[in-house]
Amino acid sequence: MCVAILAVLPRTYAASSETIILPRTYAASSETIILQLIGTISKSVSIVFDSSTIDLGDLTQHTAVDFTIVSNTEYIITTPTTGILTNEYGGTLGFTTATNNGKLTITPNTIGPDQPLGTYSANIEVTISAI
Amino acid sequence: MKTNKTLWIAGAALSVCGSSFAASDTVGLTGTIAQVVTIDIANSSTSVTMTNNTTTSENMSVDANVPFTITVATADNELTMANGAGDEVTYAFSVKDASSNEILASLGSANHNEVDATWTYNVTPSGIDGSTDAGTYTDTVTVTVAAQ
Repeated sequence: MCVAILAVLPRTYAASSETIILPRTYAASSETIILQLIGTISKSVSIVFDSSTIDLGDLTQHTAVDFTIVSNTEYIITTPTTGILTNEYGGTLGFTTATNNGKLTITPNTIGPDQPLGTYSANIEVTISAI
Repeated sequence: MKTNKTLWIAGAALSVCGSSFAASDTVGLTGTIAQVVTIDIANSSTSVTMTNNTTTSENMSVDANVPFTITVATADNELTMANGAGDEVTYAFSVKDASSNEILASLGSANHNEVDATWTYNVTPSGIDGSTDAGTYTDTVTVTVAAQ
């Protein structure tokens, strides 16, 4: 037999509470970064003669040859102001040089009657240096 | 006088046969994840190799849980590094993902979906020759990511 007994029970309120999982707080929805770009270009200089050989002809007149300088900074150009041409027998003939506006001019000294015959040659080194 | 009364109730709803009372309810859980768009770089200053067509790359971390827009801008709207004396070096700027896919090819904006990745930004100078003045060249690039 089943018996039901009415008891005075406290009213049970439903636990209708709500639990909220709080979001983790992140950064804002936008962000900006600043990139600083830095680069360095080193000093550089170069010189190139348009021709590797200057033909001075009969050595009675001055002769010029062009050269090209490329530099990204101030520079000093150094050229021997004088030099000596030597022939195959050891004979010599002096010359002077001058540089102007990208030209190297060679001027042989005056040839005297006792100047040995022959083919004369010399090398000239022109130097540019970054300051 | 004391009287005892017994109320007999017939019915199933309140009939309890040898068991305890119980109550239940349901709690709903809700949470919100805020939109997140962040960008981070290890160094704010990048040393660029000033050689034509040589690319300097640096990493940047990009996290976004929403579609976003990435924007690259410069103050003068040009990709030039200047030395302060009027000389300039042009450079290309790009943003690429880890697979070298181009996210952004130059100045401007591009849209992208959610991501958690390390991208690179790439700087490639050009037009440098022997007459390009020696010295230090700089430029400032602003990269912005913003939720759409």
